[in-house]
Amino acid sequence: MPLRLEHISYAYRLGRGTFKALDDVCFHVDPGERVAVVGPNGSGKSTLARMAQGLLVPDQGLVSADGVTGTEGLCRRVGVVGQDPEDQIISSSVQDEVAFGIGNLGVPVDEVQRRVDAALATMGLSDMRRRDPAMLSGGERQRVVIAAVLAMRPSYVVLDEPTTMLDTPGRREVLDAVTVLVRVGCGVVHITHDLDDVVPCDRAVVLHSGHIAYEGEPHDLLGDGGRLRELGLGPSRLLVVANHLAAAGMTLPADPTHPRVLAAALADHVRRVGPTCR
Amino acid sequence: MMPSVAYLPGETPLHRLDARVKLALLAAYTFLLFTSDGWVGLACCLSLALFGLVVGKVPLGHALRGAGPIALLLALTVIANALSLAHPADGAAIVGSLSFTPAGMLHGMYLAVRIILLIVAAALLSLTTTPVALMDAFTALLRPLGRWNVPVGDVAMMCSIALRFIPVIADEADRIVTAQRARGARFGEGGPVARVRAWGPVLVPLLVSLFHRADALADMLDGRCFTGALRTRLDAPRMRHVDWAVLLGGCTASVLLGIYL
Repeated sequence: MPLRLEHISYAYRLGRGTFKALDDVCFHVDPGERVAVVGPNGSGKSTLARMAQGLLVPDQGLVSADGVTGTEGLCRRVGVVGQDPEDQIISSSVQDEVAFGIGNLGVPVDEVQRRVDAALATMGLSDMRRRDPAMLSGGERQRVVIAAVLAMRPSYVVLDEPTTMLDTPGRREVLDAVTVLVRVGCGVVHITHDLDDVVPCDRAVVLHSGHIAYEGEPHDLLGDGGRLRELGLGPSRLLVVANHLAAAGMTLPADPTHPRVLAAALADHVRRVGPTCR
Repeated sequence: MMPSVAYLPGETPLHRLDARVKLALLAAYTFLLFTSDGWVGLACCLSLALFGLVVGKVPLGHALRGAGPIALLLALTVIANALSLAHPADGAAIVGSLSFTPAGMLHGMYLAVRIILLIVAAALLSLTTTPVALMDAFTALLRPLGRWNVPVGDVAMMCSIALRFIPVIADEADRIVTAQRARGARFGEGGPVARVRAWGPVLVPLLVSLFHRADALADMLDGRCFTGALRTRLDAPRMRHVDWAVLLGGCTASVLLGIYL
């Protein structure tokens, strides 16, 4: 059964007024599915993340994961990884940090050890288990957070802009970790500003002013520069590159925002006309 | 800047000793220090402190850093005891009825050494114990209070987070100070009021940022099912035979010495 948000509405109270963050949003993720949620600032992305874990109760609508509702049930089934690892790590060793969440579930110590070992191995952190997270790089720390979430065996993981605070290698590390999450069967919601993060996803959802403004194939979205501008999103870097290549005389493939397709078309072009530029 | 009594990593027997035992030994040492009378008792306490420094491989200078801020208090203790208004037989008049007494000064020095030894013992504890282990030890000792509905888990988590976030907050403050300096703010100029006012633009964003962090941290704790109830610990501290032996030996010796010295 999927993670399901049905007809969700939520408004923040600001003094005497309110700010509607989500308005009749319907959204679901299946186990093993990777869904990208993009949208400009204030579009309701982080509210969606908090709601998926039951940390915010919707004014209207229902949130359920595997058919379970309520904060306690949702917290056990949905893990959330935030932006800044600094705000999510409280222990002085990687192993203790990964064990923290499972320890709260009252799992016996042998089982805690087993799950910690498995999560560390999955995230490639086994040889760092005794290290102080404060001494790790940003990417490594974010992987520790993902391992801590993974050790709780959630069915779904919501990543709320997990690469925002990271440098390029750290970003790469985290994106690889997200791929691992999908491989082990978690349904992944990747909230992001970066349209390039949408490429490997199965589905893309665009939030705009609390509404779902687009839901469908990532490449259909990325290839439509006009629509992206309309939704307050810049063109993806791949589309920019594809447009430059088209301007330089290359015939673009039907799906230019797919990196492999674009790379193959470029290689084919170079083979045919040689490495010349106009 | 590192705190003057921050943990000194090491693998000495004192580092490996259970933090609860070290806390109990500190309490026993304090008892010995304040119940033993005279210089023999003080010499005994001094020997024990030096023994601890040698076993823990802690440089004396490092352990004495904690005494720096109270140097004035120690000096006042010696001076106040050295001066007398009662014209004692061995006193040397200074001015009016005020006189200097060597016996009083000696007593003042005795009290000052006692305070210094207490600081050294406390520094030995904090220099050879990680903050987390220390917090765990406090939690273990506070656990019986849970029977009277004291939220021991919450208090322990709060203290642990406070310790963990000291460097994060210091970094944050440093970033804001640098940003304000880049915009021309001057922190070390003008009178006391101007200097205090200059910190206003630092404290406000620092507080706002701390509230944001607190929100994110609260979400993380809720998201990982933290309820404050007892939880399974992977590396729960376990008392070894040697810990029990040191605890019993140390406490018994302190009580006996305190009574007979």
